[in-house]
Amino acid sequence: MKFAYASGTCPLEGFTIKRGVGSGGFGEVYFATTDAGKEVALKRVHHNSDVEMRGATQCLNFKHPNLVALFDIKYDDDDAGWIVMEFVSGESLRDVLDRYPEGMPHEEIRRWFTAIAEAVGYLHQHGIVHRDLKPGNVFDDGGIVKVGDYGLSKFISGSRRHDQTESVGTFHYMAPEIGKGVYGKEVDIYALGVILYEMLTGRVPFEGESSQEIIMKHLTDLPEVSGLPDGYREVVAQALNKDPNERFTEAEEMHRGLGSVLKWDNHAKLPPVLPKPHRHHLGTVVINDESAPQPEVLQATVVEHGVVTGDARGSSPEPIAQAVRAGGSRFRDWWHSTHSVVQLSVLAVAVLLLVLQTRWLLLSGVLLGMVYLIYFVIRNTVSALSGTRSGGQGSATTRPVTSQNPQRRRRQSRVPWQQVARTDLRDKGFAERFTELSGALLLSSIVVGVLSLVMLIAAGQPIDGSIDMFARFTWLATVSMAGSWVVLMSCKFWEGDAGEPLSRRFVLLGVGLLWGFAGYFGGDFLSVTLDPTVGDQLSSDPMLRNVYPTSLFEENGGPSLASYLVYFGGLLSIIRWWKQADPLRATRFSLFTTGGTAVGALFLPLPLPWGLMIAVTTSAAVQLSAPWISGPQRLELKRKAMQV
Amino acid sequence: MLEEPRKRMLLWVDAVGGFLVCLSPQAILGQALPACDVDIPLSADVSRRHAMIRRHADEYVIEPWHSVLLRGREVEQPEPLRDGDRITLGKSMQIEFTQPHALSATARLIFSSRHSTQPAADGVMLMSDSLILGPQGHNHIVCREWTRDVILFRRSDQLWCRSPGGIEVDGASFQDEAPIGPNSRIEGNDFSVALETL
Repeated sequence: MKFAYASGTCPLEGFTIKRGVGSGGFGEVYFATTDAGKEVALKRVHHNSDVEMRGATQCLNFKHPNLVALFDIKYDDDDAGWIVMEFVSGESLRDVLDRYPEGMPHEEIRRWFTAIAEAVGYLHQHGIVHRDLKPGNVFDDGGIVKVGDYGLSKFISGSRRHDQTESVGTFHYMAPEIGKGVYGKEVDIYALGVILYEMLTGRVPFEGESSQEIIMKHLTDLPEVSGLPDGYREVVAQALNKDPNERFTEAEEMHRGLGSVLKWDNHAKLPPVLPKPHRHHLGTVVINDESAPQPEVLQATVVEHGVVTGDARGSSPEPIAQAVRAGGSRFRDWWHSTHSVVQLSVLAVAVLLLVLQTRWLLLSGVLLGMVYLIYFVIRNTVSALSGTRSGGQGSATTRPVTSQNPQRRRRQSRVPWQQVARTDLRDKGFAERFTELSGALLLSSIVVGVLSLVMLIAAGQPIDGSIDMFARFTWLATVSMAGSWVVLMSCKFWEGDAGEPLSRRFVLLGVGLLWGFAGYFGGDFLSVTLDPTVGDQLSSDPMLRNVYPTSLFEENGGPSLASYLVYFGGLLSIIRWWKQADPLRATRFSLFTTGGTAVGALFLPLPLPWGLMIAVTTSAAVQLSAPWISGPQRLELKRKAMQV
Repeated sequence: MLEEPRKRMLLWVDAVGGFLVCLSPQAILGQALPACDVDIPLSADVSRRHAMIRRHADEYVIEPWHSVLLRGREVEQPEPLRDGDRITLGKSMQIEFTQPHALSATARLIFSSRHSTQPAADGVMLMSDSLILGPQGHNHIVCREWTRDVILFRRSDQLWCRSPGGIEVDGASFQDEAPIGPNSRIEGNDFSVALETL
């Protein structure tokens, strides 16, 4: 590294340069002594960097133990500005990180992060955004962590927010909105998130060959946070949110978010992922693989399912609730990344649906709530039963899956585990496949039976023990069961590969038409009338009536055979059912998926509530009964994938 | 006690650090006070003249005048130093003694406690025949970004500097090696080192 000023020169009166220290940001930094022997760092600022001089002037009297102190600003004979600063002799966080390629010890993370967050909080409280936070700008000065180079900072105050067009900083730590020239406090929070991620794992969340690649990843990719220890994961994810408004608003708030993990006792290097096994507790393994095609991480969150206390809600994430959350965050991410035209049209459709179908949306909400309640009770009963059966041996499944060192394993992973799983599925024998299928069919008929009754009650159909009621129930259950059966059977052939959507849709369309015939004649046989006068006057459906040709409906407003065919054929070919029956689907049951199916059904010409009920029942039955590779099996597959 | 006129210099290595180089075969460690005439002036709670490190052939011996702990043990007689030794002067000043390079007897003192010399240096070099700066970890002064070594060596009471591939000393170019003066500046295409004789 070459420096403009040699040792022994005095470009600035009263200071003697001893050596160059480094160059960064807006100029070279030197180690120098004053005539009296005070050691200082001198930063020479290039002529055109008015920005920095303004920022430095603003910060000149800042006092904080975790900030590199600024002493003065001076100008040499060439009118170049010099910032006189405290000389920090220790190593930078960059050096420390390089020493720990697998992540720093917890104790050190706590020490560094607390200090950095406090310094950043101080800057923010004084109206300054650092804008160039990175490990190379943070130093350990005899045990005290100090943040430097905040001369680059610029005040936050309103109008100035956008006028800085130069893009500065290191790409790995740059928030996505910096590309738009937005430099709010949030860019520091984002950088804090990146630094925390790097301290935990030894690597930055977004790596790339070129600056463009890195910037693109910051704009579009989701950080792989599932490998981070409990307590850190959520905080890092929030700090790295693409939307500045979704991040923490203050560094202190982010630090508070880490409260429990930072207070962890000094003996633990990292907060243990696995709580101490209890004698009567049964370990349940849940894999966080919501963000689908990322490089796989072998890191399981092991949760304890409190059988003795029965407090399942408090201690273990329940898969449907998790699915809802995951779906929500996926939707949020999609929403933020999508074009505003798309956003507008989605909004318009949503409003339209809300206005036209208020009653049905409300009803669906209540309905789903009831289904969830039933499911919740069943789940707890089942797990309580299996808990007693396996006694206290549950810990056998819990121990080996907690990986001490997720980063190391992550690096070794070459083949996605899904690929291994597909091969396994392909190689499955006929007998095994047949057994699986018949089990799924049986299970689906039970699910359909329960759900159909729930649906009828929720839809306000008269439950009076009359023949009519039984006819409606039988029709709904039979049709939904037939639907789930044909889906399960078709998908059984397809589980060996990811497949080609168009041909699958075509096959399903054909199957759906057959299903439509069966539904129509079945209804005829049972004398079930789906005309809008049955049950509820409001079930008449003016919107669909206007969209579809009148030939689809009979004179009394009920659906004709054609309408059945359009509905059933449409339902099977529009929705990607093979995804719902795929053993590799992220969660066994996804409300998001069932909701999507229901929305699809709203646009098909079978009067409400029938169309909606059939779609929801079928989708739920398919998902709940189709085989699903569970947590421990996934881990096994991941291990296998790593050995390939 | 017999003392030769001391020869010391500061070696300022750009982007790496500053080092105090002692050229005499013996170096006295003591407190950094204007009146204290020592080779290695320490800003530490030590005696005015606390101890001396002396080189015999390729070996170093520490001669304790005040409290010196070596490998956790109080020493009262001169004791040979071994590579990697930890020396405690007084109650708190801790020094790590190493002889990193196999082909050179030169020793390096690094302060492992939060102490420093006066004027401040990142380490002290007790230079025998040669002092090697370069990217490898076993060099006396490790300069990670450099692409080649620079060797300072003695030749008939004169310091020389050698670096394969050409160097510039005080503005003049040399093929491989060049004599250096008390305040010379040595430059290559990606490095620069300055001497400041005290």
